[in-house]
Amino acid sequence: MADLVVDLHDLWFAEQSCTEMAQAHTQAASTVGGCDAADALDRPAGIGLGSSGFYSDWSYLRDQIVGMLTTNASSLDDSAAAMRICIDTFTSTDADVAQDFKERQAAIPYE
Amino acid sequence: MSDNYGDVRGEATTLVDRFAELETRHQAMLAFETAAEDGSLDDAHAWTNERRARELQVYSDQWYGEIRSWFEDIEELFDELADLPDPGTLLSTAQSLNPALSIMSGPSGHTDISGGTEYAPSASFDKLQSVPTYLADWNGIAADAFKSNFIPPLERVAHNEFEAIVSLRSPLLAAGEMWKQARKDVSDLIDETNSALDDYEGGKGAADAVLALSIIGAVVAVAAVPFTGGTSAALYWAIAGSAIGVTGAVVGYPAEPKKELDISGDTPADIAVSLRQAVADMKLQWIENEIFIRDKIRSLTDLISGYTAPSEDSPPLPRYPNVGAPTSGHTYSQATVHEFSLPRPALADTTPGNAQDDDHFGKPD
Repeated sequence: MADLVVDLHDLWFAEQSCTEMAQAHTQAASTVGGCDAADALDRPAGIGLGSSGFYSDWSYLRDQIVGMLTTNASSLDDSAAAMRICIDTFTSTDADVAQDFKERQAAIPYE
Repeated sequence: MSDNYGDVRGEATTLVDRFAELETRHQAMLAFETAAEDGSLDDAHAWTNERRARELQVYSDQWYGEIRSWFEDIEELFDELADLPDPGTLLSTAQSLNPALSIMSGPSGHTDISGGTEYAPSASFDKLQSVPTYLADWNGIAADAFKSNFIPPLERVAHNEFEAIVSLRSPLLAAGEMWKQARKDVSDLIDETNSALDDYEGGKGAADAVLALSIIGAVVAVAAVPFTGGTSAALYWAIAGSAIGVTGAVVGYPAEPKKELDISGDTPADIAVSLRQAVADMKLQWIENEIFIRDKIRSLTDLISGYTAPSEDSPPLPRYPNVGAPTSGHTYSQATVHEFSLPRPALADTTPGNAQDDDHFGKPD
């Protein structure tokens, strides 16, 4: 049982790490998605590539980058959720394992 | 040169007034000479200053309005030039992406080569390399695949995500610099035109002023997207110019810009013609620079979509697959797509009912 608790604790560390990385991706996606250059590129239609310059291409790339950040965030977030499911599966069926796991979390917290 | 961009419209109106006034004088002298030839006026060269002033006033009262209309298009030209994009707004918009760079600097930190800024390692990624160790005893198929196939490339993918955000920011920085220089060129153009009119008014033969344009093409090349991809699994991220070495990567430059505009002519009307041509040349240069930036953006879009061009000279694919057809030998690689977006791991689809199955986490060794 002791080995199982150690493995569950390690799994919990992996889950916490994946959650943090997912949150970083989500936050970055939000920052990138919130950046808009429409006003900055606005000018009369006879200047450069027209009244919005290269905005259409730029915003397409921006949305593409938001998409890839979001995809990677989802993969990490859902994998972290899977790890929580796994931990719950093992701890919900054995009260001793659950108790020892809880004590180990307190003894070696995720930082 | 003065910095008169803030009042381009006012400066243009003053310039048109000056063109009209000098051209009226020029036309009046031509008229007086013609009249002298047909005997309806005595020789203008023999007039006193007072007589000349009086005759000029009579001519001007009759013709100034019409002659001024010859130059009114110049006000319209500068009316458009007075509303160029604001470099400050472009810069602040670009900088609003910086927090995303701090977040995505990965476990080892990252240097933003376009600006030389060092980004410290991101705390969110500091246990990334330990994740396979945490999962060492979980040997279900999905768990194995996660620690073998998903986590190891994640640091590289995070690196590419960082560079992609840099590459989204770069066009805005490039445009900011470009329009800053363009505004200066517009101001200088007004100054040089006034200088040419000074030459004319001062009695120099042919008025001639040369405007040294800001070399905005080179600026755009340096600041534009630091991003190009190879057909192999390796991706090359590069920036043109500056002191950064670029390993085997080719980043194109826009067409060499016209460095000088000649504002010259024997009469105010001739000088106005060269002014109009100078404005047209400047505007063409801006179009070329924006096309250069736009094509770089499209190349990035292609690369993130998995398409790479056979050479840097090849045009980017149409952004929308249903518009136009890729004809230039681009190659598609799913591995390139996965350099940016990792395939969803099977582990992510674990449910309470299958967590302990060998297909998912299994039971720890």
